[in-house]
Amino acid sequence: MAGAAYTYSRRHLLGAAAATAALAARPLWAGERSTDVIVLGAGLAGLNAAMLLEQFGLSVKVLEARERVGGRLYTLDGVPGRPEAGGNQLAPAYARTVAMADQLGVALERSATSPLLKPERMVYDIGGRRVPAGDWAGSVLNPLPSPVRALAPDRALLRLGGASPLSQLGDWREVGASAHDVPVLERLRAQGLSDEALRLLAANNSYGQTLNETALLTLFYVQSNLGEIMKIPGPLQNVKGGNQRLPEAMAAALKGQVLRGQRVTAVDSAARGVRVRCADGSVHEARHIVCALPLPAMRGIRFTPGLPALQAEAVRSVPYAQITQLHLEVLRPFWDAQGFSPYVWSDGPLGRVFPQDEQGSGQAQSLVVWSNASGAARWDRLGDREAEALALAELERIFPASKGALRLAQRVSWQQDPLAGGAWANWAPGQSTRLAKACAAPLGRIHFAGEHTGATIRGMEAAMESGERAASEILSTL
Amino acid sequence: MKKILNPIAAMLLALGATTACAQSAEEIQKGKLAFMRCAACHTVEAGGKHRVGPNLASVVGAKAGRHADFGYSPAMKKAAQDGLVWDAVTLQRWIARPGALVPGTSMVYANSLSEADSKALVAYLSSLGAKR
Repeated sequence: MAGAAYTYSRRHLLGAAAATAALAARPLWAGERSTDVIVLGAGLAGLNAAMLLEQFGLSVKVLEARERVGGRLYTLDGVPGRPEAGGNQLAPAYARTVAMADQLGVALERSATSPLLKPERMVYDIGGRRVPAGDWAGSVLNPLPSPVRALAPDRALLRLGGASPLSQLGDWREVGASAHDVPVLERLRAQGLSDEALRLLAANNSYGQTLNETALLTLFYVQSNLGEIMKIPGPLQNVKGGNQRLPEAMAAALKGQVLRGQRVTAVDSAARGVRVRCADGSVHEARHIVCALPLPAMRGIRFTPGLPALQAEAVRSVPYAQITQLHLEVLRPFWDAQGFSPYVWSDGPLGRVFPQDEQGSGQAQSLVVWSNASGAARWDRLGDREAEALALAELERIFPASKGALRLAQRVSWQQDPLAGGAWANWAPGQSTRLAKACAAPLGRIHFAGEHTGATIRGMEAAMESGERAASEILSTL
Repeated sequence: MKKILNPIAAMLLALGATTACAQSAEEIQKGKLAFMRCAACHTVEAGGKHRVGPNLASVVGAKAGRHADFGYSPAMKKAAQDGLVWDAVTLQRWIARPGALVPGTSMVYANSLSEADSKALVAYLSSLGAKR
C-alpha cells in the first residue's frame, strides 16, 4: 500500500478534480512538492498537451528554454508587416489548431492573396539569366521534362516522384511503406533526367539536403497531405496580429506556470516519477513528463535510463530542414503595378524571394529571401553585413531599380538555433518507416510530442495532434 | 483495489450479458477520456455544431451521412447510399482505420488508442444516445 499514495486511481481523476489536486500536493520525493506533469517545450505541441491535461484536473508546469513561447511559430514583430518566420498559414483541415484559436477567442483572418504573388509576375533567374514566368515552359534554360516544364522545379519535384500510393495519411511511418522509403534520386535517374534538371530540382528542395537524402516517401506524404487538406473546403487563415499570438494565448490560459529560460539538461526517471534538471541548476519533479522538443534539441539532454536504440538513433541522425531567411525591409517600392514583382525563383544564392504583402494590397512592406539546404548553409557562413550586401547585389542584378530600396531587417536561420535544429524533420530515406513511430512511443513516464511525432496532417497540426496524443497517453494510465 | 462483483453483476456475467458490463460507468468515463482524440473535430451534445467532422449525438445505431447540413465527402455519401450504419462493429473498424472502411474519406485520423480504449470510446458514444 505504500506506493498507492503516489499512484492515481481512476476514481481520483474521474470523481473530482479536487481529489486529483489533493493527491498532487503530496510529496513525490522527500521534501518536495510535486507537479503531475512537466512539459518540456512551449510550442504548440507542449502547450496543447498542457492545456488538455489541466482540463482533466492535473497540475502542469511548462519549461521553455527560450524567453519566447511558440517554438516554430515565430512572428517577426520587429520587421515591418510582421512576417512569419515559422508556421504560416492555417488550412481549415487544421482542426485542432483552428479549434484552439476558437476556444481562446484568438481571432483568425483570411490570408491575403497578394497581386504580387500572381504566378505570371514571377521571375526565374537561371544561371544568372532572367526568364519571365510566362516564358519558362518554352525557355532553353528549362531542362525539365515535358509534363512538368511549366512548373517551378521545386513543384516539379513533387510531381516527378509519381502519384502517392499512400491510401491513408498516417501510412508514411508504417513498415508497409518501406518500398517507397528510398532516395528520390533513384526514381529521377530512372526517368533519364539530365544533370542540369537534377541540379535545378535540388536547388530549392524543402525536403532534403540533396536529392539522394530526400526520401520518395516524404514526397508522397507531402503530396497526400496536400490532397487531404484540399478535401476540407474554406480559405487559408492566419492569426490576427501574427501566428505567435496563438501559443502566447495558450500559455496565458494555463493555470500552471510557464517558466522561460529553462533549458533542460537531464531527465532522470524513477519508478514513481521523473526529475528534470536545467542548465541554471534548477530541479523540477513530476509524475510524468511530456517531452515536446524537436529531435535536435533533445541532443542536449541526458536521459537516464537512456533512450531506446531507435529513438536515440533518431535524435542523433534525423536531418531537419535547413532554412535561412533574410527579411528585407522595403524602403521604396521598385516594381511596376502590373509587371514583374519581386517574386523570384533562382538557382543562385537568392533561392526564392517572396514579397510579404500581408494586406494583399500589392504594397509589400518586406521581402523574404528564402534559402533551403546547401543554399541556406551558404548564407549561414556569412556575417549580417556580407549577407545583406550579397542579397542586395543579387536583387539589383535582377531588378536594377531595387538599388537603395532595401535593407536587411532580420535574418533567421532555423538550423543555427540549437533549440530548433532546423525547420522540420526531413526523415532521410529509410528513416520514417523505421524510426518515426519509435520517436512517438512513451518511455515509462516520459511521453513524446512535437511535429516529428505527429501522424497525419503536417506542420502546426502535427504538433497539436502530438500534444493531444501525449496527454491522452498520460490520462489513460491514471 | 479490486472491486468485488455484486451478485447481480456476477449473474449477468454468467448469463453472458456482456453489454451491461461493457457499458459500465467506468468504461464510459474511460471512453470520455479517449474522446479527447476526437473532440477537436466532433461535438457530441444534441444539436451541437459541426466542426471539421459532423456532430456525433446519438450516432450509435444511426445511418452514416445522416446530417443534411454537413458536407460529407463523396466517399462517405457513397458509403451511406450503400447502407453503412454506425454500430459497435462498424465504429470500431472506423476508429481503427477510417480509410479501410470508407476509402477516400476526408476523416484524417491515425489511431493510437489501445483496443481497450477504442472499445471504451464506442461505449461512451453509445451512452450519449442512451441518455437522450
